[in-house]
Amino acid sequence: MFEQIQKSVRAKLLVLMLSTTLVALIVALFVLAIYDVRNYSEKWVGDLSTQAEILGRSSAAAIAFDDPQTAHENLNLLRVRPMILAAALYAPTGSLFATYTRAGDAADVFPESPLADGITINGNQIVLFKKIVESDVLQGTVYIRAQYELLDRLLDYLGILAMVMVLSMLAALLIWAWLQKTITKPLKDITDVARQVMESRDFSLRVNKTTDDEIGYLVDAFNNMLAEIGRGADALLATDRMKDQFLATLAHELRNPLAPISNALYLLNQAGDQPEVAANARRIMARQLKQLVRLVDDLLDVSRITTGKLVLKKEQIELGRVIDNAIEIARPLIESRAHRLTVDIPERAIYLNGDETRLAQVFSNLLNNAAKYTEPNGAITIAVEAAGEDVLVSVTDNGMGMPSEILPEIFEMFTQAHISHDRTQAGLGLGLALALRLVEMHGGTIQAYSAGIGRGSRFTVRLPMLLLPASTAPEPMSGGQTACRAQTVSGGGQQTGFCLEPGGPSPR
Amino acid sequence: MIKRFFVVLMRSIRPPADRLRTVAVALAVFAIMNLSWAQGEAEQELERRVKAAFLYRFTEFVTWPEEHLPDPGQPFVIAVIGPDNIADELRQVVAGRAIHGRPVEVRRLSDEGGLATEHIVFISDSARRRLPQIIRAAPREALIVTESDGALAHGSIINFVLVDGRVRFEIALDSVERRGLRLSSRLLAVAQAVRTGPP
Ligand SMILES: Nc1ncnc2c1ncn2[C@@H]1O[C@H](COP(=O)(O)OP(=O)(O)O)[C@@H](O)[C@H]1O
Ligand SMILES: [Mg+2]
Repeated sequence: MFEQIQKSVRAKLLVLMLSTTLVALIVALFVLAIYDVRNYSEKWVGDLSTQAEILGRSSAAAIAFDDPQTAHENLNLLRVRPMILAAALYAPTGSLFATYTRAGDAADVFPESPLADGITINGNQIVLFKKIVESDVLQGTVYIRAQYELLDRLLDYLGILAMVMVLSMLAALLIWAWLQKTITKPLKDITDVARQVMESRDFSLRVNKTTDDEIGYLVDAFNNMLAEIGRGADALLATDRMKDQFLATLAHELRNPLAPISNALYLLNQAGDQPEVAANARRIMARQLKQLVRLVDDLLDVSRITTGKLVLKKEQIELGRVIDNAIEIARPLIESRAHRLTVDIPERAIYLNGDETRLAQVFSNLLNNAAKYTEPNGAITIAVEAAGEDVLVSVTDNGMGMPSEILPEIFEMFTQAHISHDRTQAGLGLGLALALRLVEMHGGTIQAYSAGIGRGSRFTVRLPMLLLPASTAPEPMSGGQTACRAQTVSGGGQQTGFCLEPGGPSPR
Repeated sequence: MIKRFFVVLMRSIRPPADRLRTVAVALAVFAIMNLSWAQGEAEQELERRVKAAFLYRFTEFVTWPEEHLPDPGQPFVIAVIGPDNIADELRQVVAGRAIHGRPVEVRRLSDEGGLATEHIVFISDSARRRLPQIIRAAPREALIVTESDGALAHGSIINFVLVDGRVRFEIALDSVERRGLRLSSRLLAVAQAVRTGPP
């Protein structure tokens, strides 16, 4: 029983209500009873004394002049006080002078002579003697015997207490039932849902809000927390799935180059006196090794970035050279897929404060992606243009493009828009994430655009330019390597590029 | 102070309870004797005693104007016009007692000749013939007490009567007012009859 009360808010509330009502009632009635009994006793005694005094004084002459008739008349006036049972007057000599008994009562037995002044309470009767003294002379004595209903009053009080108790307990129960609806019922709802959630791990459960008070607020907060936890759990699940997928991809990517390498090794062993076969085998092995190295490098870079260990070697660099380096890195893939590359770089040299190798990595990633996600014989353009204090480098292709809904996530690690794409070409989904971090470390931004699947893509990198005083700016045309500001690289090694230089177009 | 001392002195000489008991015993005896309807010498003596006691008790219920009361220390005088024995009886009753704080003096007179500053004048039935003259000669604020039929008409204030052999009294309120006295309503309540004016 006690344990049950301990565990249930409802039971506690009930006990609380009933006990407070009970205590309040008992205390109130107890105090009232004490007050009333005291009051009653004081009042009644005072009343009787006054009565005796009046009776005595008005009967003094009757006693003095030996007139029991008048004394009787005086005593008979007491009939208006039915609480007075009997009364008597004694002459100064002590003899009984006149008596009175309440109408209807049997004639009383009166004390033969008066006792000393005072009040005696005898059960439920009170007896009073009072001497009548006028100008120091004893005129007689008054005797009054009356009802004293202290016990009756106490019993009355007990009766009232019992009645009030029953009524107020009923009221308390009613209030409890009501409270139970508005407080404990919603509380119980919350508890029930909480238990269900704990058992089933279903965060989509919600508590029904029935009140607008603090409990209603609690319900809202509880529901919000459930939603929050649900979202968190979903996100965790998604990340978990991505990790699994990444692991699969990684294993696949690492495994991919191994088969060609072991094949090449076998060929190399069998080559014997066929030097072309051996050379071919070595070439295959070299290419696959390079692919492996690149994979491992990307992984290393990612881990460096996530642990904050990647440090940029920042210096004043020329954007043209960076882009040349990037093209050089991507050239094998572009050529192998017979894409046409257009390079559109303004004549004026543009300087940046940055890490040349890392920026080249950014652009080569973009170019590699363009080559990879474009069907062979596609067209790729890398263009540079100044925009205020920034420079915009964009890599555009006419390849597969991306669905617009994936664009916001494309720079997140492991995100790949073309899962079903030919796995031999697939990467780890790290290239764009790396590019974004590197660009950000240079104080720039990167954005992806695509009109949709099959409609090509464009990636734009915005970097702050280094504004040099004219005198310190190196001569842009000093080096021959970047002389050509626009060039086209075609898969077939055909040179269709042209130079916008004053010196006229120079083939490359 | 002196008055107080006097009262205390009187008390110590003779405690009031004793005297009251005497009166009460007298009353009781008188009541028993009356049952016989015989008016013998013994009965007459009892009647005298009761009347003497009443005479004294009247003073408790009558208020004289303060200026008419004797100076403290001077006696409160009760004149008795009639036979010696009633005066003697009264002397016994008041012996050692004070009325309104004054010592009491009982003076017996044979007629109105000696009346001067009395506060109570009791006119015995034996002086019935000269009743009007005596009452006229009495001091203005004197309480006139008589024991003759029709005495109230002559200006008496309290007149003793015998009812069923018991001593009772009747009161004339008009005379009370004329004489500037005040009577307690409690006295009126025990009076046999109260006359408020000429019939
Ligand atoms: N030029 C592009 N055209 C179409 N899709 C692209 C292009 N560049 C990147 N993507 C999409 O973005 C995803 C992420 O690219 P990236 O981070 O470089 O990873 P990876 O190339 O290793 O798959 C790619 O898997 C691809 O689906
Ligand atoms: Mg890539």
